[in-house]
Amino acid sequence: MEDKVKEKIKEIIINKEVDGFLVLKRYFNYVVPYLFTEKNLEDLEELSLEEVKYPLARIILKIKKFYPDKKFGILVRGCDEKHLIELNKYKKINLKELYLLGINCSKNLALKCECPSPYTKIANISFGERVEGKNFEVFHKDLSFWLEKFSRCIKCYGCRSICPLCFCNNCSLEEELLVKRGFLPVDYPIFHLVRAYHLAGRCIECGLCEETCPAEIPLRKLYKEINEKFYQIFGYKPGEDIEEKHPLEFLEEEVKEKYGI
Amino acid sequence: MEYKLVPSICPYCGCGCGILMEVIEGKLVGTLPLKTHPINKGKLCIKGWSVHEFVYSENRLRSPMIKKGDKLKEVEWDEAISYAAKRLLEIKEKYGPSSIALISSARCTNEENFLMMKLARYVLGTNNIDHCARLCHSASVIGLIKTFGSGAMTNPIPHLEEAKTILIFGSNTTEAHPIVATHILRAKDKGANIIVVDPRKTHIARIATKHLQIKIGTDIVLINGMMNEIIKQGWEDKEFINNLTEGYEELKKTISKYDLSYVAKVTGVNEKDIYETAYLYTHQKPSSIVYCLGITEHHYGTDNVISLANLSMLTGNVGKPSTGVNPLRGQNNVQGACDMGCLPQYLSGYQKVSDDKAREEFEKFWKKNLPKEEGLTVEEMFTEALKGNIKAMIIQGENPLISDPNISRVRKALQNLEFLIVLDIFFNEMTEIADVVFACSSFLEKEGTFTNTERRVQYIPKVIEPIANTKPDWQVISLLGSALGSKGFSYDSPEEIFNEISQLTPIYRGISYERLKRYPLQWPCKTRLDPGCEYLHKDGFVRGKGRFIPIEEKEPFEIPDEEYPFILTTGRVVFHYHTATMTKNSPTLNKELSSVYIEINPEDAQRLKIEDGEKVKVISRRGEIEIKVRITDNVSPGLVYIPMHFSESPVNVLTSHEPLDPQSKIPPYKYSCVNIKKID
Repeated sequence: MEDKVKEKIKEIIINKEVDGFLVLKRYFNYVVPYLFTEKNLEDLEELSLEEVKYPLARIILKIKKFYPDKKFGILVRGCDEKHLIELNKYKKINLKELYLLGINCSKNLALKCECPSPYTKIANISFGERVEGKNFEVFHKDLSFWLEKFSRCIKCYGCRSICPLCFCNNCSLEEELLVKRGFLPVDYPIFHLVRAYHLAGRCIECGLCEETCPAEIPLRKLYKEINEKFYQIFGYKPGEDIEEKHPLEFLEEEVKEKYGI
Repeated sequence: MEYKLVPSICPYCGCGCGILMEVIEGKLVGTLPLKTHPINKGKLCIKGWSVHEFVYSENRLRSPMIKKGDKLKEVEWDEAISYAAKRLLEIKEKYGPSSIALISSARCTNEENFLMMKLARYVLGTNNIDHCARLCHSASVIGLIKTFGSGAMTNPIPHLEEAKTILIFGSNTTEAHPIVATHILRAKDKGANIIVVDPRKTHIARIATKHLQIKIGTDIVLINGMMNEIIKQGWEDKEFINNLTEGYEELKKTISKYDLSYVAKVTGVNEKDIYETAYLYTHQKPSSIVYCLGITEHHYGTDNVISLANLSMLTGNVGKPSTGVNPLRGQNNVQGACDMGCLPQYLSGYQKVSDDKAREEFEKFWKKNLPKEEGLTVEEMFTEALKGNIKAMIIQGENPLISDPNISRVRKALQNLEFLIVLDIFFNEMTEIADVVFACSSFLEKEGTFTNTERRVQYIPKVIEPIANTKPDWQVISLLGSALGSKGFSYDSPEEIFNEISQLTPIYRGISYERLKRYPLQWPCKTRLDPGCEYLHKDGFVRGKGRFIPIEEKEPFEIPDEEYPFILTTGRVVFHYHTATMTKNSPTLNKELSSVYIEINPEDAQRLKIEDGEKVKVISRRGEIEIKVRITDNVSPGLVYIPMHFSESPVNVLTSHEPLDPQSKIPPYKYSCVNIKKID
């Protein structure tokens, strides 16, 4: 499979379908995201399909900002694709300008990530065998459980800084009226609830935040619980369907309809 | 079009986390955590996330400078180097080699520390070389060498996850070593007992399973009390003691008087908690001890460390996975700076300068005789400078005008020098008083290796080109060495220096760049096939038998009285690093916290009619500062706390440089008597 991926990437770069292609590559003993271009095609030998998750959608957003006129491709997993679907709805990126190659996740990774759909749906090609995920039960815990977890927070902002869907220019977590600066323990639960609230109906439950949290707070489970509530109210699951409108969009229309503004 | 992510190692604390530097068109634009790194596995603290921010700060030094009249003037490298060499030679000629002293930097690479060591011993002919390990973990190096035979952290960080009981002494791990704390929290989630011994309600104390809020400085009494109870109950590991240790009977005799009621009275910890801690440590194994400067920074720091080593040997909690005595080292490369022999009594790899055989190895390699008398430690250098015996100093990446105790004394000592060379990356208090300033490149602008707290040697590639007219320290020291007439400094690359290190340093002998690029290695690593050493004392202690050394309780050097009724202790916060030279120049970190504060208990604040946020004067026998108040029960009545970071209210104006710990020469930072006065 690795060879097929390499060939395809090479082909679309040489055919100038894209100017750069983002995918993981071995670097020393590590696996890191790498932008392949016409100039470094020989490095494709070091391409890696290891199941290491990086915020590729966030990275491509940054690259695109520096090179708005260039065309890019990415090798996406199911979760990367969901990030991009949401970013497209928020008009942060234009999916039509991206060349997506897909790779399906193994059963192991799907279980580790508690992912119900560990495969891509809109990518041009999907490499690898498609396995079904599992619908994990939402994790209902009482407040004391969460307060113990939140109290560990060391305010690294990693949950925000790694998240492809945290793209606000002014982050509420840095708003002094909400969260006092320069203190540990951080103001909890406000810090964590502000973020959870912001991600309601936006979070695609990829778990990058949970993986990067030095305080081992089960953040994905928290956001999953909030997403469940969001679904009950609005019937919307983020990242699932590229055509489906985001509630904020139809709310806007409803508002227009009702109030004429 | 150029976008790349280059792996590197975080330049702040001793965790040694993997970071990914994001570079667009040769410019740093971001930092990401390195997912597949063995320590942080994709996690970072706020400092790690902000690494790229300080590099382009306008406060970076951009060119070498020489003091002309009262002012520093930018000059070319040739002029700065030849002037520095000329002055050093004059001073050496006039006053002899021992009139010169060097302080290397625990934030620089192994290669650069090794060169500082070589410059001192081989070129200048003095063993007066030391660095800031003197001020943080010299007591660990000495204490653990005396008891175990090796002065380093015994077990790797990931082992903590599998421990069933973790005793944390004097370490606010979540703030000072956040990623070590991650591994502790993972253990907690698996049901481990996390017991914190600390006079403050630190962040880690608040989230632990048990907090023993000990009276400051009474650790020896607590540990002796625990050991006495363990022996009384028959919980000691008799087989381990018989087979692997010596000196047990003397220990038993000494500690027999530390019964629970006495220990509870002295330490302020109740008997039940001491008993339970002793029970858990011996019954829910494997048990690890983690400690930091709350243990070492006392004038009996080495005795504190020895006491922890005694406790671990008594219960067989050392030499096995997830056990051990684990000092958390401060800087990213403080372990490496020690390993490289930037210590007045050791050549690289802890080979004594007084040991003829060890010294001869270096003499043969460098083709020159080396001095064999032990040199001066950091505080002794300043004492001798005050007396006029030290005339010139070379200080690399270190800011003793914030970080050393009794700053006014340090300032006088430095002003008393005839010549001061400073190597740094930022304008700071030190560059203001230097005669020559070498503008150096940051860690991202050069190649090299760092050794983290658990002896893990890690390679860092050059990520960007040196900014402005800066040079990496290894090139600067090489130029200076050559200008001083030495032939041994014509290095073309850091790898060449590393090869010399591995040749001369048995514990690094098996390590090479080629291997490090594939995977980091933990020393001792003695041959090219040696996989390195995950944890120490696996097959018996490095010194042969583990040695129990009985320790009696110690008296404080000053006690609270009417004039100075409060005890002051110091520490660090998660948002900044040490003298904040780098973190203050990082907008994210500075936005989070930009001024320092004193923590005062609500009872004391009420009595003194002080309000939260008010500015007060804090006075000790050494000096006084003005500082903002935070009222909090983090400290108990009578105890106050100031983080060490900022130059606006430097706490080390108040701390004392004496008495030094007689064994390690560490000053008693963690304890001073102060008074607090309202400002009218």
